[in-house]
Amino acid sequence: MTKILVIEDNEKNRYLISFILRDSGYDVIEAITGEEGVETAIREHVDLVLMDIQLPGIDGYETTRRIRASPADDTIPIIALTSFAMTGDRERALAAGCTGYIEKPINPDTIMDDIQKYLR
Amino acid sequence: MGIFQTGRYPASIELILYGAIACIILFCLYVVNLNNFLLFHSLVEIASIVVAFSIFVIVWNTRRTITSTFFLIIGISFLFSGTIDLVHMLAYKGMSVFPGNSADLPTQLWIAARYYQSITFLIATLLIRRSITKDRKYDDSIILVVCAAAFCLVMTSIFLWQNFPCCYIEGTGLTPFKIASEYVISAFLILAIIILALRRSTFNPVVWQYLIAAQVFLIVGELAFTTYVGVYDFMNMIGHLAKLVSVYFFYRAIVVVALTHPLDLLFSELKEKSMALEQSNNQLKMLDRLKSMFIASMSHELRTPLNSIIGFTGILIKGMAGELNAEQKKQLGMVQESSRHLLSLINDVIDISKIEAGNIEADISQFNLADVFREVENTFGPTAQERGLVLTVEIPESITITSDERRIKQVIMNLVSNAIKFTDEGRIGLTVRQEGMVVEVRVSDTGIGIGKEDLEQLFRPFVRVQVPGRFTEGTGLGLYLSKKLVQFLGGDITVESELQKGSMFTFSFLATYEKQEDL
Repeated sequence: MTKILVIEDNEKNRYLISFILRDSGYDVIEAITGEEGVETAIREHVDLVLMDIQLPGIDGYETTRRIRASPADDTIPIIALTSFAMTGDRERALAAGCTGYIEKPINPDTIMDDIQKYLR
Repeated sequence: MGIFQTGRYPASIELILYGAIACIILFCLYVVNLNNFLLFHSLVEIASIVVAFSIFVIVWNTRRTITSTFFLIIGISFLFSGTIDLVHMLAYKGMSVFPGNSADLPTQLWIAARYYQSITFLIATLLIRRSITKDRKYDDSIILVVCAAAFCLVMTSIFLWQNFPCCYIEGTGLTPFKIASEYVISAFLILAIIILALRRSTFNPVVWQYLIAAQVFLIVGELAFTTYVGVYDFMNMIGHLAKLVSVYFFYRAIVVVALTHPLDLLFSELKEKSMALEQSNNQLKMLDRLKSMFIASMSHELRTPLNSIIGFTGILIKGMAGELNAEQKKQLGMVQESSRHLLSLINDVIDISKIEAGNIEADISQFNLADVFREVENTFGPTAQERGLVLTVEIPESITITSDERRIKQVIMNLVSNAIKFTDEGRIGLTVRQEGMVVEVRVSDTGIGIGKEDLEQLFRPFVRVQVPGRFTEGTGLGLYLSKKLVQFLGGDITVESELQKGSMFTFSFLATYEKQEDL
């Protein structure tokens, strides 16, 4: 089963994303902080990472860089969750090594199509 | 050294310099005196008359800023004592201006001028405490009239009535009246000095010193005159020079009071005010930074819960958490719509605060405007149809733009959404044309239109044009933000409209974004 890691500090948003992913039949692993996310990504050999940018402690950019620098498969798709009004988030996310981005708020109608695009 | 030096003693170098110049002038006059007393007398008198008139001119023209009656009286009295001195000079022995050419007339005029001066000074010192306030604003006119009347009286007494006491008798010399008068005048002046000394605290120290020096020299002059025998002798010369020095000190005092001091006051006030302004400006800048920081952090805090509201509502509507009946779906749809509306308001506020703080960055990419037009058609086509309107989008073949796609899309969508909101029947048109580097997008409608007086207000923040019997959602930020965004991208929005006929918004921008220097 495809394993997706969700890194999101807000409990409700984490639950929301996990719910949609599980509903579509994915195996979801959750992490709250960037550090935890890096560790889980390496340990669990996940197939895709879905990550919030504004995280407490190390932010999404740094988390991405650490995953990319780790012995984990560096082609693992990392998708950033960005906010509309934050110009520059997307560019910075791509520069940090993210594969793509999905804008918040999450649209349950389209999010699965977007994720499928990035899955190998 | 400038004239902005009140309240300070002149620097010693300056004092020496002035002293040296004064000595040279006095020595030159002395040399002239040895060769031609009449020339000496005329030069000294002319010099002191010029200075006396200058004092009057300065005081009279600055009388609105001189608040003390004392200086007003002194300044005005110099006009008349100077005039008497002028006649005195013309009447001097050897000038041949007045018939008779006796030495009595100039001496009478001299003593009259000194009486005039000393009495007015004494009166002035008695009125030191009196300052000109608003209800005493006619002081200047009153003083002028009184001084002029006294002057006329003196002149009439000498020339017309000829009852002014005899002062000089050819062969005999000065009359007792003249000598006694010099002592009386000196007594008046000493009295004035005593009063000045008692009232020292009311004066600027430099001014006070000048005034005392002026009176002392005047007394020296008077005493010199009590001893002379002929009108051409040495003591006479000393007396005249002392008078010149005296009038110069009065002049210095008046310059400080009338010009330097008020200017200094003005400058120090100006300096204080500009410092206060700078301070408040810094405070404002700090507040502005705090505001920007507050909005930036609030925006994140506000959006996070809103994102989960919108997300969960979406899941529920989709039936992912269980089947819903039609009414539940309808109500959740309303929740979702309101949440999205709230989110877009928050985003607008964030955008505006960024633009106003100058923090906005363009998100530049290359895109085809035709794709944007297609997206607009897909987004608004159904809504327009629902309202019975025709949305005509003229999709161009291909226009490649290098700019901020999201912002341009945002502006077009805002304009089209407004057009749909304010049109009840007819059509909405979206067209584009490119002229060189400038791309022009036009949104037209057959809606209710905008009145002339409202057109001017249209792009201001929080302005919402009130249409009777019509309620529309909005913050009044949409057009304001659109205009700011377009200007940020190097373009502008203009509008033409006619009530009941429709509106046409034209917005232009550069096909290739260039950073705007001052916005």
